[in-house]
This record gives sequence, C-alpha cells and structure tokens, in this order.
Amino acid sequence: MLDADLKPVARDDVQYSALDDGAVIYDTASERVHVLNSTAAYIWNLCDGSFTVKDIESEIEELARSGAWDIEDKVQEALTYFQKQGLLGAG
Amino acid sequence: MIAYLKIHAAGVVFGDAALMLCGPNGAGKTTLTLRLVQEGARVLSDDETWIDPLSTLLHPAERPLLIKDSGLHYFPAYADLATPVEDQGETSWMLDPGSIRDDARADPAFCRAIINLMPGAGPAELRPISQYEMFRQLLEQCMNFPEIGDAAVPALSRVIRSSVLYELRRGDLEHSTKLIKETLLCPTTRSITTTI
Repeated sequence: MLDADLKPVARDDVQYSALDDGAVIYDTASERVHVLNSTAAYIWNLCDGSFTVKDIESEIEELARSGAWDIEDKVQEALTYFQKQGLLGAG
Repeated sequence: MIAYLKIHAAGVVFGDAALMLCGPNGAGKTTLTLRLVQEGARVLSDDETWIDPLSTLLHPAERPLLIKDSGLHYFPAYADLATPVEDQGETSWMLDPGSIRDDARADPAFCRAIINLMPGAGPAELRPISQYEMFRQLLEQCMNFPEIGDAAVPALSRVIRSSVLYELRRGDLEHSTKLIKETLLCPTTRSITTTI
C-alpha cells in the first residue's frame, strides 16, 4: 500500500493522450500502452508531485459524492498500478 | 515515404467520409465491405487500413479484396469477376474493387465512424461504445504499433475522437447493413453523418 503522504509524480517521458472518457498513456521507454478509464485518467493527472495520496483520495471523494465507491481502494489501485508499471518517477 | 499505422480493419468511404470496420478474422469484414459497396460505398480495403499518423487520413492498403469461399455465395454476381487463390489451405477469391464498379476504389479519406464487429447469431445489434473501449479494440488490431512509436497513440486518439463509435453484433447480413445505413448515413446525401 502506498504511503498516504507520498506525492506521486508521473514520469516526464510518458506520453499522454486524452479521450472523452479516459486517456491513453504511452510509456516510451518500455513501449507499452495503457488505456485508462476516466477515474484512472483523472488520478494520473493529479500525479504532478503536488498532491499526496491522501489529497488524491480526497479529490476523488469530492467528485464521487454518491459514496458508491471505496475511494481509498480506487486511488490505491490506480496509483499502485502506475507504480508497478514504472510510470511514476521520484516524488 | 510515410510510415503508416496499419490496422487490421476494413475501410469504406461514403461521400468523403470513411467508415472503418474492425474485428478479428472471421468477424465479417469482407462480406460487409462488399455489401456496403452495393449500397454505394467505395473501398479502401477489406482487411487492412493504413492511417497516416500526421494527417490521420485513412489510406487504402495495396491489395485486392480477398473473399473466403464461404462469403462468395452472398455475391453470385462477383463470382465471374474473382480469381481463385489458395489461402492457408482454403480457396479464397481475389477481387479488384475496380471490376465491381468503375468508381469503387476510394481515395484517402478522414475517418468519421468506426464499427467494431462482434460475431453473433440472431438479430444484428448496433450499440454506441466509448472511446476508451474503442481504443482498446483498435490497439488489439494494430499491426505495427512499435514501428510507429511516439506518433501512434496521438494518431489513434485523433481518429477515435473524430469518429462516432459503435459495436455491431453481427447477425443477418441484410439486417446488419440496414442498421448501418439507418444509423450512419444521411438519407439524402448518402454520406456519413456525425455529431462530432
């Protein structure tokens, strides 16, 4: 599990293309493509080094007021995926 | 020389707008392409469509149509125009679109609609799908992604964002054709109408 105070930062060399309902990121180093749904794309855009994991969870919680999601799980899932795929740099 | 992004997809043009039909082997790309030609479409390809990553224009692949033996019976009038070839141990039929109709070969055109073909039985069903879902489908059908590198993702994204996107659960050929015509074609101009 990622530390709540960690400030994730996307690697500079990962290419981002927006879709209306998500995004596509292309890791130029590994030549791998990741198609993100809208939530994951939103989280990716918050990985600029200025938001902590806790901030991101709060941001997503704000957007999903319905409370239907387990926000912490969603954010952790997305950020852990980015980290495991080597898409994040040093924060 | 342009390094095209090659997609395993058929492409037809109505008016000046292209419709891409993607799907795995056996999804019915060639059969539907030929049926749409009978409805006035011009052909880019029945199997492989090339995207210029800079302009995102769809270009024809440089090969004739290749009709499976099982598909030719839908088009008895073309039997005399086609040449038999052995393809992976089966007989297929090579057909030059120009032999169907003088203007059946399309010039490059911008994509305005993409349909992902799904095999199915029973009534055909056409439903809108998301850009997210279509990107995943097109990525699977992309034949030379690593060769194109950095330009591939922006090009595919632009093509998807400028197109209406559907999934067609293939059923009866006539019903499938009717759904495409009713959903995508303007009745008066016979060109693809989009809300983009």
